[in-house]
Amino acid sequence: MKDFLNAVSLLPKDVENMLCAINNDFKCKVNEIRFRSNKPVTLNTKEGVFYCTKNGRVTVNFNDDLYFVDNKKLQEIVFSLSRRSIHTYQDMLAKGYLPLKNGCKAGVAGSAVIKDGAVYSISSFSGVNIRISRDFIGCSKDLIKAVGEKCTSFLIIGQPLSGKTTLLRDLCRTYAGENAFEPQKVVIVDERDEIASKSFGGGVDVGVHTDVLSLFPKEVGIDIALRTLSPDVIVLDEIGLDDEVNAMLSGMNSGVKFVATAHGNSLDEVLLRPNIKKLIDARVFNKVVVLKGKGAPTEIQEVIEI
Amino acid sequence: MNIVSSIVLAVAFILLGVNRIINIKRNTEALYEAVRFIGSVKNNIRYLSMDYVSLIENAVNENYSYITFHPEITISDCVGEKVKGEFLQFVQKIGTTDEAGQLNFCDEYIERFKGFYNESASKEKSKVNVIGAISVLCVMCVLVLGG
Repeated sequence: MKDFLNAVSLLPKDVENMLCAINNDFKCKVNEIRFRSNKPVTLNTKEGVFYCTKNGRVTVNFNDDLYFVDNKKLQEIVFSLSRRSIHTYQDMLAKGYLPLKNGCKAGVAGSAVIKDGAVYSISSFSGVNIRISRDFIGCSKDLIKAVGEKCTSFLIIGQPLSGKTTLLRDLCRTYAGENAFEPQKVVIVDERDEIASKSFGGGVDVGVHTDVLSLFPKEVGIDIALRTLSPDVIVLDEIGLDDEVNAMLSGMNSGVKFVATAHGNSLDEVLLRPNIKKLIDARVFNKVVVLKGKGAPTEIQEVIEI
Repeated sequence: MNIVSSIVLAVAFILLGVNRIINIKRNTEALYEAVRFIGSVKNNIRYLSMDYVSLIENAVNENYSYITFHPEITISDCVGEKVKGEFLQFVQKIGTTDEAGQLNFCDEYIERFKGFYNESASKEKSKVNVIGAISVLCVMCVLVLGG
């Protein structure tokens, strides 16, 4: 429930109060809170999608008693989530997200403002999706047994909400924790501040022997880590772009292990992405771990040796 | 009119005048602080991309006498309702646009408040001269009546 309360704490007071009135047991099940312009607020759980009424009750029925969000309220929500500071978060808004507390993230939909051929910002917000991040201490135990106690380079594949980032966090705690048998020096390149959430207050425990490069583009962070932080392991979330892949290929023979995640349902599916195929063909990773999916977050479906 | 009444009247006029000068002086100082505060906000957004909370924390450390920050940012009543309203408008606009927009509107409000400050400073100067002259006149009258 604490995770839910953290996720809604930056919302305007009236919206926060409405969501806090939801039953506590239900709060623990919510993965996403979605606001869409002129539509009712929806709460996504493993069991399905639910609507929220004006007095904080949860229902599957679409009716007039639901809490609807108009354009003005949506603007207010985005302004509030940006801590009243659009100018501070404009680069992140241009990428379609706002970081919240403790690893939670708000995806933002709207109209792109283009400047010099690139997305400069978003205007006319049409939707906000608050993803609630939950910490499961010890969720990486099975993963570590599957890949081997001695840290190696591996890729975690899973669909959205399958627990990839949650597993990464717990892996860092295990590899770099104070009680680790052979503690590893871990560097997290946390481009979107989702893994360690160190940039804007709060922060998640990611191990005593961990350095965090928050908000750095992955290729820049990998370079800094290799040159100055002498890591044993570099941890990355959601890889796939050209620059990131090239940086990993450059770093692969430097004695450093890479632990990364990528979106996908299976190895065959991710191999259709040229950049991921490049990494796997180059044997940057020794193993690929496929997760079960959003129905069973952090659970492993299979481990494939490369 | 006897000498005592004259002295009392003279003192009353002088005190009224001094009070008026003090109010104008406070107004001028408050406006100077407003210009300083807006300039500080502009620099912190431009060079540090500070968010709203950090801007307030930074401002609290800058020791303003006429601007308070909790529970909300507000300026002393001595500036008058109109100027206070303008200051509130500025505060409400902080963080509502991208960086370029923020810097532009900071510039706009710096110019506006500089205008208020210059007006107040010039009024202060002229009032000091007038009230000083009246005070001297009152004292001379008292001396003449007493002598």
